[in-house]
Amino acid sequence: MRTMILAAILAATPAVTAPAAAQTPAPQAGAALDPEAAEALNRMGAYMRTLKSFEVKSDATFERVYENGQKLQFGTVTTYRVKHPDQLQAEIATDRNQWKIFYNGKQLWLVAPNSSKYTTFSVSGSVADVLTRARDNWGLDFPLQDLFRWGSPTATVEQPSSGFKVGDTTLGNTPVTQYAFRQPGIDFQIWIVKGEQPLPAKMVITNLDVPEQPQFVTRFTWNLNPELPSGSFSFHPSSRDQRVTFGADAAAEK
Amino acid sequence: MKLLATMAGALALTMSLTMSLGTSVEARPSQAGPAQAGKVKAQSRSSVNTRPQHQVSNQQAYKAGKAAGGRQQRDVVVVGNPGHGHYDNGHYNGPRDWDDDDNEVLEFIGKTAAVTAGVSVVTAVIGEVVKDQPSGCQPANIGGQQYLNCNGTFYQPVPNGYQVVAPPQ
Repeated sequence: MRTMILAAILAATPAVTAPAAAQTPAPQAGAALDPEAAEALNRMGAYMRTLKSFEVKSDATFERVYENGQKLQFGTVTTYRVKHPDQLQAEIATDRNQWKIFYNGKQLWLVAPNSSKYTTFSVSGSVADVLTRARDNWGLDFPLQDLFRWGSPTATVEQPSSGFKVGDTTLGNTPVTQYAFRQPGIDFQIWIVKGEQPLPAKMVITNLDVPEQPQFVTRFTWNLNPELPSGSFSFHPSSRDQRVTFGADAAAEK
Repeated sequence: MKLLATMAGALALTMSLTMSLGTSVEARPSQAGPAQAGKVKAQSRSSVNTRPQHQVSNQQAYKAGKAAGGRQQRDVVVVGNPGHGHYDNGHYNGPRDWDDDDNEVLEFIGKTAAVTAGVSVVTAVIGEVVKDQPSGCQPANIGGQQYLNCNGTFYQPVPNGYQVVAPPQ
């Protein structure tokens, strides 16, 4: 008798939960890019490109998949201080190491504070240009390059193949809207601050290239009035800092 | 494991590129804990607006290398997976992460910059198919696979010619 009642309850359960499940927007097969979601991404990018200077801190966790199938999580705190269009100061602090990057529009310095070593390249162009060059020419992948590419007409941005609004929520006390997008090899979600300053507050990137789907998760803290005294964007080595050179030819690469 | 394999390559590079990294290149075990889990197979991506791979610039590097002429040094640039690493003298120099050892990262940056700038001579691009068999090739059977070893660059026959492959390890 008891068993029968339990079975009856179990049988009834799906009927009870079904309406609740229907409220959560689910990606549909062959779903397209919802114009509202696309517009939210464009509006955020356009706003970010109006900022003459900003400081943004990303507190991120990311995952590595190992040969034995284990997935481990690590942390990276990245701070970008930017003066549009071509000045950048960055700090990248991982669980194991720390880097400082300076770019003043003419010269880029990569500084390893733990070993007091640094190297420098002569480059010019926008911050986005330099990050592209760092990746393509020096094999150096800066985190969160999206911050410099969204809304930029020169960016090699691929339009997501699908996207939709997940819903409104708050992060801390900040009202935000969550969106989910798909593009080849990547699913990403972005939480955009509601109102007149539509900045990204949180982002999740899921790598679809491998079955384990390692994720990158970050929260952003924005400061739109940072103190950036002149000289912030150049590295001033002390006597104990040691410059690493690769030969004049390599440093003068085009 | 990864550290040992790349250190050998890195030491060779130090000499060929006249890099000054101080008196010694010491390896700090930056990934001490996960060693028993094996090598890193994959990791998350931290940007959505980047080209997934390194293709274009490596092709440019290949052209730069060809224009420089000569075949003294055997550098092989990797097109497509596994991303922005490069081979040289049979050693794969994989991409570096921000939490790797300072010296390793700096060496990798310097070497990659040099390869890209065509300072060292790029002889072949992995994935490239040539119609005719290159000169000076020796057949090689390594790990049950048939290769052609042509002056240190490894090829395998494909329907429309010979394809450059990663040097067998």
